[in-house]
Amino acid sequence: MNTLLEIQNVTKYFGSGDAVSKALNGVSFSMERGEFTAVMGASGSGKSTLLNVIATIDRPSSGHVALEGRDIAQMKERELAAFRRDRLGFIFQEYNLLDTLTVGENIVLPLNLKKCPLRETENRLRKAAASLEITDQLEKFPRQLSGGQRQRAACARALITEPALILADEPTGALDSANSKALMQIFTLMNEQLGSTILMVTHDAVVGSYASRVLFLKDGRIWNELHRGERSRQTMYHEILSTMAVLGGEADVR
Amino acid sequence: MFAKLALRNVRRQIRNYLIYFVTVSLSIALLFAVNNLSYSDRIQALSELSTDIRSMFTMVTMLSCFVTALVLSYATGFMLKLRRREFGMYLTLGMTRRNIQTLFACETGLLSCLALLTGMGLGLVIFQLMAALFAAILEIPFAVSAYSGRGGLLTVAVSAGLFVLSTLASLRYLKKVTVSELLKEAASERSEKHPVLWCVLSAVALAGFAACLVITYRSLMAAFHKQDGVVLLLWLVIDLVMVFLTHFTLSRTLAGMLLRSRRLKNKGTNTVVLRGLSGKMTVNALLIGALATLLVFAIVMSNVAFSEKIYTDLTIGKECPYDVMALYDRSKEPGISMDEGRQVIEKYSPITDEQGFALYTSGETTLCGSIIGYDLMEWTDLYMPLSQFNRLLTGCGWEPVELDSRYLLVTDVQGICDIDFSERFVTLNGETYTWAGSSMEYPDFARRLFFYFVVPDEAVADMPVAYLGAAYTLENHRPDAEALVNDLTWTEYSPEGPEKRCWHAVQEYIRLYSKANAGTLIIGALYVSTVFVCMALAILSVKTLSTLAEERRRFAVLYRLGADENMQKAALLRQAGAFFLMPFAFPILMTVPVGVIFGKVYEIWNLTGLSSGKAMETAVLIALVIAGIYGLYFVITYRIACGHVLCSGNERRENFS
Repeated sequence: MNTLLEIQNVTKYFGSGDAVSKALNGVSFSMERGEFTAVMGASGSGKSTLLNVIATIDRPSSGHVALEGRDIAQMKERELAAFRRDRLGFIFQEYNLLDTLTVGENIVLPLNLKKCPLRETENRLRKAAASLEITDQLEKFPRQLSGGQRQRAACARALITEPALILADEPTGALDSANSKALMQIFTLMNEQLGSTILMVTHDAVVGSYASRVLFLKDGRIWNELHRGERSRQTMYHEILSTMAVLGGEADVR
Repeated sequence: MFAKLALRNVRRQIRNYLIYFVTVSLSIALLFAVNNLSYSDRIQALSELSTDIRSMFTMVTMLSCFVTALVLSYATGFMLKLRRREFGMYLTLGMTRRNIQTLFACETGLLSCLALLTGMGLGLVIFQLMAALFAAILEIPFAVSAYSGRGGLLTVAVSAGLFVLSTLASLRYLKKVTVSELLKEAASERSEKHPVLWCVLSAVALAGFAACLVITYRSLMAAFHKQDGVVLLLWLVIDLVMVFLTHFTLSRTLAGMLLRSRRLKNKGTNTVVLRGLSGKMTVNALLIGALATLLVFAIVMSNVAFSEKIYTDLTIGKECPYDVMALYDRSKEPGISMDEGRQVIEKYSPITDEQGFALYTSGETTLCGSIIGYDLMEWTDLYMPLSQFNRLLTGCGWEPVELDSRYLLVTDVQGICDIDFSERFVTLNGETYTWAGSSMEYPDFARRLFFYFVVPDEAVADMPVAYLGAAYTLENHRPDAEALVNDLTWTEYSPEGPEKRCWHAVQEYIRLYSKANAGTLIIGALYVSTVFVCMALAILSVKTLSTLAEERRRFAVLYRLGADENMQKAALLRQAGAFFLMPFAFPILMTVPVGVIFGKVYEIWNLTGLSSGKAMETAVLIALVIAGIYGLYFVITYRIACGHVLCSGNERRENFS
């Protein structure tokens, strides 16, 4: 494995003067290719800010964020847009599928933006839809699908450009437990069989237990880190709960 | 408290209110200007001249009120829709319906007062511009016109009434609507399900429109010969209906059909743009059809008005080629004799030249017998000697005519001009004369007659005089025409009652009358066109801006998926541009057939100094002015939309939270 993402001493301030707040306070970590990492922490711990910084939606106040060796903090707005399009995949809590587009059109949208040839676009759509078992849903509109199906469509959209890194922001936030479990199995499949590197923000311990590594954030710093290694998911889950208890956080227990 | 809250809300939502405010202010400004013009001294004086002017202004005022009512109710409805969820939220937080109604009434009241003030202020300027245009058309010096209290009061009364009515309708809605309905997310606009079917229908409608246009053209040409305006009017109405149907069907199919091309759709943001357009156009198909119809109407009306102006300018000299022309019927007793008439004229201006002429009759109907209905009109053949005709012609700058044993028919009626007299011969004083032709081109020397024949002088020898005429040239070419005509008019009493008669034609009076009519038509047409164009634009802008919240979410997703600011701008430009262009492109293209048709009309008029190219020039100029106003509105709307919708950099982080 080789290093895909390198975060070095990243800080992020919001506000100005007396009202300044430090959302990230010297965060450093790295991710290898093919890794599945979860970021957990209480509300306001800085996990969404961290994701936004990596997603190039926010610029860090200081520090370096390098993906595949390129420092994204130094890129210009236009380069960042191309970078997001080509190298990152996104999965959101509210799916963020465009309601006026069919599921198929939503999935291929990143390829269209990339000006990918039609034949290749269709091949990739077929492949992604088959691996996420939504081939029958491609002609439907998002409003005609269940929450779980919509999130599968969002996963297919994130996968279709074969991004270096998939960023997931509370992906199970709008799903019930059965659909959350199904989605996590899809994440596992994406990670293990399709080789996707995933960085996921969650505050659900069950969801976090699917990751191979969990970073705990507190007050904008990495407070602790858990590696699953050869342990079972159940064991990982209990360890997350124990860590969250010490952290004094708000881990959801289902 | 509510007044304060309302003031704060208006200030905070100034961007949303901008188009509403501009639209309402502009409507009021136009209403104010036309009401003032309608009640101005000049128009009141001209109304004495022609009842058409009064009727035209009454119609324009009524139409303005109707259009202003439409725009106001639409704009108020839009503001309510825009803030539906906010009001729902207030209700869940414990505000009563009465509180919300009061708040909304305060806000619209405040805006309405501001719009009324701004509109009246703007109206003061527009009124002077309209008055200046009117003075230019009448060729009279422009002086700053006095504002009419009645016009101002009428504007305030109409605007206030409309504001109250539209606010009451909104308040009623707020009283009846449930909280859940207010809070419900607006349903996204869905694409047309059967684009192919609608494509077929739009092709049929388009073909129907093309066919109707050809028939209208033929009908117009026929109208010049048969004087049958009803059929033409019917076809014009059918044309407008076809414009509506074409746009209605096209709106439901265009984006949908483009979406069927996989290659096109899979390029950049095309899917997002086309899907957005498909939904928007399907939902607004009726509106697009109606706006396109109004725009076509505006373009045609403007062309009609300017053609009328051009026609008037060029025909005044033909209608009355000398400063004053007299024509006396020898069979009737005049109230004012020719000598008395001459004295009256000299009271207004010295006569520098006088050309006498006469029309002789054989008492036969040899030639006019070819004209259907001659017997009912009790017409007999009337002849003007060639030498007199040529003297009159050369006196007003025409080349003399040559006739060798032939006769020439002079008329101002197309139907009479079209009659073939080639088989008609007339023998006068032993000489037989053949037909030299018929003409409508020559100046009208015998204004009250439908036709007469010009023959060599020897043909009329010993014939009795039927009409005696005189053409006067005055030292002052522009005397006080109204007073002069008044002095030359007498009242004739018959069993049917008293009737005013005047056997003199005064060029200045005709010029004033024709130009006043043309001016009223131009002002009316321009006003109606401006109102229609502004209304179409206001509604399109309001429609575009009312979906900004949805668009903002869509563009936020696009941003995260890698669409940079330029791509987003281009997508928004295409989406808003196509929506604006849909009801506009076709009416603008109509400039070409309109130019061609009016060119043909100009050819038929066959007036010196008028070419068919002039019609196209006018049509293009009108199209350019309308396109300019359209472009301005679009740019404002697009800039506002960009400010609301586009995602770039850190500022848009909140869209994902």
